[in-house]
Amino acid sequence: MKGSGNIPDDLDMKLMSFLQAGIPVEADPYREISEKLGLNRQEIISRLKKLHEDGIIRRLGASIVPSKLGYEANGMVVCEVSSDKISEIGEYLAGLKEITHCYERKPVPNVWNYNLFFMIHGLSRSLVEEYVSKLLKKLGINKFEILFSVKELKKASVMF
Amino acid sequence: MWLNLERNWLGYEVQSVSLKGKVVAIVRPPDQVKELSDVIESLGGTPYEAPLIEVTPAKDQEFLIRLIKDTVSGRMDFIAFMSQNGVRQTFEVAKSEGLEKSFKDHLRKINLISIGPKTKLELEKIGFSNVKLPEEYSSHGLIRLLEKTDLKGKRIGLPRAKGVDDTLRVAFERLGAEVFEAEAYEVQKTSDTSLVKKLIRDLINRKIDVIAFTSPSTVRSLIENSRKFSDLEKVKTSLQKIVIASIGTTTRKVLEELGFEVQVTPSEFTVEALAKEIASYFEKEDKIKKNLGLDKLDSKILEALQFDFPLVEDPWEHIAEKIGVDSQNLLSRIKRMIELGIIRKIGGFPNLKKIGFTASTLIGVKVPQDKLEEITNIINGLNSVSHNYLREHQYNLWFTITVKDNEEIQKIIESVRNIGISDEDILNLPVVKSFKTDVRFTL
Repeated sequence: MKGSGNIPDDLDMKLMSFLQAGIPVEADPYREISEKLGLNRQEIISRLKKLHEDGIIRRLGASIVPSKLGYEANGMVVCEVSSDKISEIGEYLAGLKEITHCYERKPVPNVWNYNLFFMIHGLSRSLVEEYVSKLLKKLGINKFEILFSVKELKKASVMF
Repeated sequence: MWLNLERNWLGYEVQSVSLKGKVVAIVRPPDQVKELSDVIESLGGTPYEAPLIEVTPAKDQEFLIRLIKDTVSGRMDFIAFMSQNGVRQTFEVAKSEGLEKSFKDHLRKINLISIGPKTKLELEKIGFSNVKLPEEYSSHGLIRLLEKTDLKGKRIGLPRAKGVDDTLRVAFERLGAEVFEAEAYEVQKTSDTSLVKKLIRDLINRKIDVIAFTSPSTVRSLIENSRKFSDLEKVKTSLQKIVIASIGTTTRKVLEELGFEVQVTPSEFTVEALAKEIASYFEKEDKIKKNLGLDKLDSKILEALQFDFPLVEDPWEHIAEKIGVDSQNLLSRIKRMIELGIIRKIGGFPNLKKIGFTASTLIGVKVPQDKLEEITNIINGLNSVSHNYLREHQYNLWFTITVKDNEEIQKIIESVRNIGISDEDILNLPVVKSFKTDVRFTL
């Protein structure tokens, strides 16, 4: 049963911190944490599996630096979408593999009316611009801006 | 496939191109397969012939016969051929009507137009040297070509395929011409389905790298046959993993309307240009990998590490086995990619909401140049800030906060205010709904 009975305990949280720091790239990756927490490898795996099944671990795997793969243009696209269409459009955008994040956010009336935000990475700015303008035209969105990143100042996990 | 946003994604020219090691599915009718196969072979690729359509003479030849007779009696001013098939079938019928010689004689005296170079060649083979070509090899190009001519009261014959749209007729009539359309042949789903079934299986089993659609009818045939012999959704998913090429914009439009992403469309609508464009597409893709010193195995590893990381005691062994490499090699390649900065880490990403971090927001700030360092130091020092970017906009600093309650967000905003930034220069944009938070990249 999933639900309220699945509150992670202290050991779970320690395992989560371990995962957040990154699984060591060593032949026996769980050796150190096993010694540190006094859990054998089997126990560690079954706890991690449970956390994954419960959705507390959202994703497991490598985190890649897009700019190193040539995706140098990183754009945050902000658009104004009417509230009756935002869910449908948000779901659609989320389904596109070019788009990595997509959120509805609460706007600031008359100052910042954009309420739908998504991130896109591309090999060049002009190609991101072309892609986004075609895409949004197709969706009937005409109020939008692309905010290209000039510098990544911080990219980390929220520590707990 | 991440690189497939646009065919010119990389924006640089490629000198020499090759299709070495690539299997390219050609789905044209049997009698037209060869010319594309030859070009693909000449570029080092492997043609995979699987006709999805076939061409048969039109059942109702009444209009074609009338068009031929009108030409012979001097009542036609222009004839525009739209395909090699159109040429072949028209002359076939002229012959069977016993009018071949006089038809040819009259065609030499009138304006003979061909939609593209292949059709022109077909006409030249049977002795015509007076064939005009449009600048762009499409209906649109034909309209442009004839727009410059005075068409008032002129008669234009269009021997063509059954069931095509009336764009040309409408356009020429608007220019004052009288248009005689005649069905010369029909394009149908291929009746020999054995190769089609094999094509569908091989698409699903990823034995094909590229599929080249050469007309809207080839697209429709694949869809209908997939529905009939396989699972359309499965075929669609398989197509997303390979390169889709389209000979021209009409075919491309049909594919896009069906939800496919087309990676290759040449600027000139010929089979040669199509094959070259496919080759340069791969060349561009390779170049990125080479620049980084990454090979196919590295990109396989990257993919395996991002998707379905195994939760087992010996994950490397599992991954190594899955991609067919020994685990020592796997580990050293992963270490190298970490050193190169390509892999940030291999870890777990928590659903912060589920462990009590329910307040999440994006803050945009207008920061003057002289305060940038100070604010960055403060913001980057906070554990609750995961992303912080300098962006090109009047709101130039953008960071995300994830915390347990809104009060903490207010405190952070307060600290930004404290370094002398006014309230109206700070945007607080909390998440209402999250549609996607998953970031994965492939080569």
